[in-house]
Amino acid sequence: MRPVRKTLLAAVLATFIISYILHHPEIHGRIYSDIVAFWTRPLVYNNRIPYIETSFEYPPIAGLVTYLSATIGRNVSLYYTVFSIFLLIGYLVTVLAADEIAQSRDIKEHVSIMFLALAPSLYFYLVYNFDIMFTAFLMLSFLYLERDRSSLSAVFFGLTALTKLMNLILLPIFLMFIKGWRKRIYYILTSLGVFAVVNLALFAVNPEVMAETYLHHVRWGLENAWFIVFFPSEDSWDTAKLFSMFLVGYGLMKVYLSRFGDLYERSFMAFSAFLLGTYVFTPQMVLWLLPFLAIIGRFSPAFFIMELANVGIILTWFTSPEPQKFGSIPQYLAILRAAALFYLLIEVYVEARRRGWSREED
Amino acid sequence: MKRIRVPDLLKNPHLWLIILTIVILALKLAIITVPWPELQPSDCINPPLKTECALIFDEAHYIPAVRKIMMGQPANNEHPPLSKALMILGIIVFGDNPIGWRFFISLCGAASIYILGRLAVKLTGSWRTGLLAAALFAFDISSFNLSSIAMLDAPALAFSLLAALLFLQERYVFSGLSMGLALLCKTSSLFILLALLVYNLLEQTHRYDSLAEAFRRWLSVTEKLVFISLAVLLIGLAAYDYGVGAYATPFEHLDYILNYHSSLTFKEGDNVYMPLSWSNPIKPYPRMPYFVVTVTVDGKEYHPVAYYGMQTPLWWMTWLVVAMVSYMAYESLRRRRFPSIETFVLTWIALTYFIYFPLAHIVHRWVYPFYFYSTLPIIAASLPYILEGDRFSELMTYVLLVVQIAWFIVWFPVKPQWLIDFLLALGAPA
Repeated sequence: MRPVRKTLLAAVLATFIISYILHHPEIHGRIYSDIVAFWTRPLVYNNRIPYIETSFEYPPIAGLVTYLSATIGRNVSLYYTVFSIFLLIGYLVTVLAADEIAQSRDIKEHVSIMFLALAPSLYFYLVYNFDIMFTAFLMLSFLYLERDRSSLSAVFFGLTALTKLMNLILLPIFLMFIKGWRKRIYYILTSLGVFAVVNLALFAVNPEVMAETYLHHVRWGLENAWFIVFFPSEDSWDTAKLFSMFLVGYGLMKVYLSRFGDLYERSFMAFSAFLLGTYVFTPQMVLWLLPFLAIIGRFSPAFFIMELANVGIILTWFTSPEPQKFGSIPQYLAILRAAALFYLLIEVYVEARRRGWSREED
Repeated sequence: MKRIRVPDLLKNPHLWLIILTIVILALKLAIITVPWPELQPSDCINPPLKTECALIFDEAHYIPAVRKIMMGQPANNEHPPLSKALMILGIIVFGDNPIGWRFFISLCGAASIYILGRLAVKLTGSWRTGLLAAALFAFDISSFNLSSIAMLDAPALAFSLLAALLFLQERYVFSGLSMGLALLCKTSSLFILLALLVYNLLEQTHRYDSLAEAFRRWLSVTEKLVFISLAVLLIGLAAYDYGVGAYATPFEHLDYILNYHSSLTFKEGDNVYMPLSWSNPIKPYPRMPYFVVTVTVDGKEYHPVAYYGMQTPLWWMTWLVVAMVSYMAYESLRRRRFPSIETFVLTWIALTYFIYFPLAHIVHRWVYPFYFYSTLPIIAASLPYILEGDRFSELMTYVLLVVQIAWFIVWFPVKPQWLIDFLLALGAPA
């Protein structure tokens, strides 16, 4: 093992331990974590089977991890620890896969440490939700695509969607980088097939699963969306969601149609466009971006602003009487975070375009 | 210096288009004072509004709203403010009377005729088509009525047509500006914006073999058009909201507009004139009196003032245009040529007229025949185009124009006594 990778893994473990302690349910003054909040729900507390005996608003792999953690850990501390171990595995897979891709692109090794182990969001949102498992499956699908094993990549892509749906927006980008229509169609069928088979099985058992799992989020209001500045009144949030659809659609179309950027730059841009347009931009979603930043290997002051604002959201959330409303500190931080992310997005695009043009000139 | 001789000048089609526009404007201005209110403006703000307020059709909504806005109160927020701002401008210049309410609206109505002529020329490359299109539309009595009274539609259509003309000239920034002003008059102008975007998308996909390249080009045009028009709309709404303290942000105002219009649904038993009745000459919607004065002399009844919403011969041509243009599009595609004019016409009709079929029949949204006003210009532009080529067809265009003018005269909203006597002598409605 390379010495730098040892350093990376040591830093990763340290980060995990810090995150584990920060959110530990037995620690006084702990920082909020979704997985600890799950404990009081019948799903975990009464160890119900998700989707069948009780509803769950996350896709099947998230439900499986939660169910296994609840089954093995019958008190809150043990449940939390078991859940954390699953997340640690996800974290390690994310880091190793992303680092391997980064090294194949000659990215300096300290960049991986910076983005994959020392980013403040990791401390506060690692042992928090399913996002790190999402990135793990996603990075594996990238890694196997790099190795020209598109079948395995497609399977992992499907598993990613079974953890959190949002990787589906990357499918058109993946397809652009797969040569030949037959391979593309095979990729679509395999990845969506994995996703469909599991969901159809659950649907057969409980027809309500689709509404309970996937439509749940549609009914949410605005959460940390920068455009709350335009829609300060909750009464106007249905229109805000339309605005969000417009933004996401436009942003993704720009990315899909862009002539510039490699697979990772485009994926980063697609995720950024989505996060800047969506009406629910929870702080843990920033974890999706970190592996791409490590692979792209570009430092920017905007990254640190984004990170500090993102961490600030959870640190100020419970000190604000109405944190989701415009005018609260978390919402100002969300706006700052969006501005920084937008700057990062533009930076990545400009760099990709500059490189594209210089290649055309050559 | 070359001398311009009068006969040469008369051969100039552009001049004829201007003359036609001025004639129509003159007719509008000639009747602008009828009806004249007998009550003070302060008595015509809150319902019930009496006939003596002299408000024609939906002026009963807009003029009281305009008066409230002038007092610094928010009113009629379900519609954007530009058309009402034009009415306010008229009131400032000419006073709170029919001239003030209707002057700038009439000006926009007349301007639409000129712009349509130019649009048809740009579209077909033929001045003959341009002049005939403008004339057919100019002598459409329902359009004339609607664009002579204080309603939102005439400025919205004028700016929409201008946006379409600039769009065809590939001046997308100015087109976006004009479309923004149209949206700021009436939000249903969005349908025309969508029609332009759909047309452009179809054109680009035909022009480029690569779908990605076609979409790229389309997105570039769309950005200019949509972002600029949205910016104009939002700035306008923000200015209004700030001025009268209506909404915290223009987005919240848009939210209200959207919710209001989504809530306008009819239920079973309501009397709704469905979209097919707007263009169907066999089962038309009934003539709708906007403002009618009835006089009976010696047992003979006539109407010296009669503003109606009604079908005209131009409206009856809708399905002929759709059928013919579809066939011509098919023929062009068969010859591997992009049917540019036909696509423009069909997308316009689809987005300004056909769109109301699902809205009315599925969503049960209230629809009104005067919505057809934004479809008519393109029907007027299409007819001379599709009837071009052989003498008989061209003759039919002129016959249609004559019938359209006759219809215009018979149903002219404010008739002089000699016209009434003439019509009564002929046994025609007067």
